Amino acid sequence: MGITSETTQKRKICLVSQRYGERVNGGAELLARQYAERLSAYFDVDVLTSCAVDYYSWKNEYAPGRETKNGVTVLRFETQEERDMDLFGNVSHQVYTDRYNDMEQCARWYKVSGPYCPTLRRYIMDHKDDYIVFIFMGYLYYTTTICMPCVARKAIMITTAHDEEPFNRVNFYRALFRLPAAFVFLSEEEKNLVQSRFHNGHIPYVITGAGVTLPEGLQKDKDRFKARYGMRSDYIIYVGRVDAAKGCAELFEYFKAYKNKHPDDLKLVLAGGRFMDVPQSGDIIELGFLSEVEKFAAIAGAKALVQPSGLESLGIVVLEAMKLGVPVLLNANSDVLRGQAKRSNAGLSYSGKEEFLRALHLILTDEALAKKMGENGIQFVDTQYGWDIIEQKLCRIIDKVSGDELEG
Amino acid sequence: MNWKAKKELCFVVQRYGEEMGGGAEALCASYVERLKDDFDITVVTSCAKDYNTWRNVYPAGYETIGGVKVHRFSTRTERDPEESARLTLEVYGDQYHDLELSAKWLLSIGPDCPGIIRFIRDHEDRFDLFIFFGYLYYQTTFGLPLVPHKAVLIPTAHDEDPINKCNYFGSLFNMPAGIIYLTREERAFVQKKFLNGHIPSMVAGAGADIPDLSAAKPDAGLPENPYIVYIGRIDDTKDCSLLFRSFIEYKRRYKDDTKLVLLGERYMEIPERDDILEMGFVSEEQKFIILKGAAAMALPSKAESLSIVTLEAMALGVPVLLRKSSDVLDGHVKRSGAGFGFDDEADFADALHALRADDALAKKMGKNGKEYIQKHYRWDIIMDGIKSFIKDIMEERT
Repeated sequence: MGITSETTQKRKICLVSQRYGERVNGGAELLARQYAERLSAYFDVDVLTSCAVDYYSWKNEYAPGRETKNGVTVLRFETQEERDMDLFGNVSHQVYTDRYNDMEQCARWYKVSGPYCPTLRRYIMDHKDDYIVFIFMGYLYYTTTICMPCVARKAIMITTAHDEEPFNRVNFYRALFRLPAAFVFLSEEEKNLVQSRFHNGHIPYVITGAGVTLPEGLQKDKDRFKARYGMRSDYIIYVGRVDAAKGCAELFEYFKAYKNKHPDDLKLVLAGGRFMDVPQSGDIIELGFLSEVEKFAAIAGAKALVQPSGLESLGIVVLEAMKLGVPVLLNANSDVLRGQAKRSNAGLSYSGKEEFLRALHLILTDEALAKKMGENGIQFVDTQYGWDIIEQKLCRIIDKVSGDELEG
Repeated sequence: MNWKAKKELCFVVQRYGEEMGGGAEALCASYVERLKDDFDITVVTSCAKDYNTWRNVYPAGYETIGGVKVHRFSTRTERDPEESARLTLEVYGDQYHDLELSAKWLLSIGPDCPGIIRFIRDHEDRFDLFIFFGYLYYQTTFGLPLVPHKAVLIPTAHDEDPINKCNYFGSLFNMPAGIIYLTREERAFVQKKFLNGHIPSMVAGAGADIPDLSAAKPDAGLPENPYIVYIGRIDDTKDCSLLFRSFIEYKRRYKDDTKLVLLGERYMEIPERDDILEMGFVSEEQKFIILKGAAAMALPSKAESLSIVTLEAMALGVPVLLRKSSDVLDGHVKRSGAGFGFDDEADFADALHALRADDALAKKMGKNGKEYIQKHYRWDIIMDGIKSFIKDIMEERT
């Protein structure tokens, strides 16, 4: 009845991510999946990605080719060379220590950073006109650095940037951050960081974040979780890669100091893959990588969630804890986390050991305060990070870029 | 805020010096000369005179030319034509070539002058703006991405292989804070190709500088009338062989006493004929005397981004014969009514015949040219435009 194929056909968008899939962990990669799946309600979404599961070797583990998953078409391209960590270390050292590093050195660095997927890039060049926009996840990897400039005027870059060495030292980023048609930032602080470093305030942007969807039947999961892991004591939890780069060494030191000062039966639970030595102690419980359901259950049962990383562009797990009404304890050296603590009143931020000890003690002993923080967290996530709000922001920036492109 | 009496501009150009030919280089010198009272200007350039080798000729270091600080850096390696040609084939032959290959190729084109890059990196805070001349050479391709937010690019681009085939230019033309084009055609070409209409830009151009010739004495051995003149590098990349064929065709048809006079350095074979006179390099004054006496000025090149010599001919009331398939030259002909376009021997012969046979027409075209220059290519108007553009770019940033 008057409905033509044109009116029912969704417009095509393309999302490019260094890794993608259920076997892949990492905040940005999870966000890529959530965005792709959410956007599939409005657009016909293709995802371009590598066959890699991990980001240090980029080894091909998924099969190349096309599959459809949760309404999203995923096209995987093989990495042509695995990451050679020695070579990467050498090239990085050379680039980071040479303040004059030039286009040729940067091009080399981009390539050895990987995932080196020239066929993915070729696909983009051959299919420029098939999509109204291309969304690139992250600023760091080949899939953005080398692929995004091919379609810059149609590109929306989700930078997930923080104040780290590549961002500060690889000179060619000065050029790259001026190219895309629009940005998606995950926080106010990230926007400020990018704009002050690259003077690109003229490029349109939206600030989004990630929504949190709790699994159903959480109470049952919580009980099952406690029974399965024999969790009888109170605990605080860290969720993420257990890695010195994420601030875990400090966390262990601070936690030990806390236990020395307050010798109760509080435990520190670690949920995530391990990339460093963890002190042998009855007070630290390592659970390894948990399923989504178990992760939520583990957080829900905690007295607080701690995020010791100084390099967070959003901190999705912090939002998850807030949504569960669990107070958060955040490293104030991360501008993003400090801002989140201030905006939400859902926890405390700390700078240094003394503040950590005081903040943790306060949360554990002042029940009324902890309860209020939990309530604030739920409210904060619901009002600021509802998926419907985020979807609308994403649709708005996609419409803007595709409209500008048509005019231009 | 840091108070300075004058804003500091850094002009970045591949070669700089008084006896330098070349479009972008001459233009840079013209702009510097006309901006030096309003801005504190430093020119950063190589020690080279010749763009085929980039051999270091000038001493490295500081000198002052015409009251302007010039900082020269030596080239690390001369251009290796074989390596450059090999990389050219690789870049042109693979539409998917990546940034690494682009970088290698652009480095091979040179001038390989890392001192320029270091200077830019070390003084990024000192200068209010960096003005990059030419889109193709190292000082721009490698230097501009270090300071894109403070960069104004004067690309002097035209429809030619490098800009069409090297993928990096899609990025380069999308990163500067501002772009100054020399003609509307150049802007249309670049904006269509790179979709960079969102970058602030202007069309500037250059004025025609005609020295006072009233007291000038012609050298001995000046060509006798009637003649037409070609001024510039005598080179097949400028399509001079088309000019020779066209002129010979004209002579075959009309058998009159018209001569073709060539001024400029020779990079190709020239037909040996009594009616083709090669005069090599002459002084600026002699050049203008010869141009003024010509029945027409002919330019066969497809690759022109402005063509100062066309403006000079028009300013002197000399009709022009310009290559039609250059959008820029075609635009000049169509807007001015100061001559004819040609793309082949027959076009050329017809056009030159019309001029030679119809004196009133030739006069009218000469007059049209003078009016066109008066209206569109006056230095005072052009420089006012550039100054206000530069000011806008600096203000936009803060």
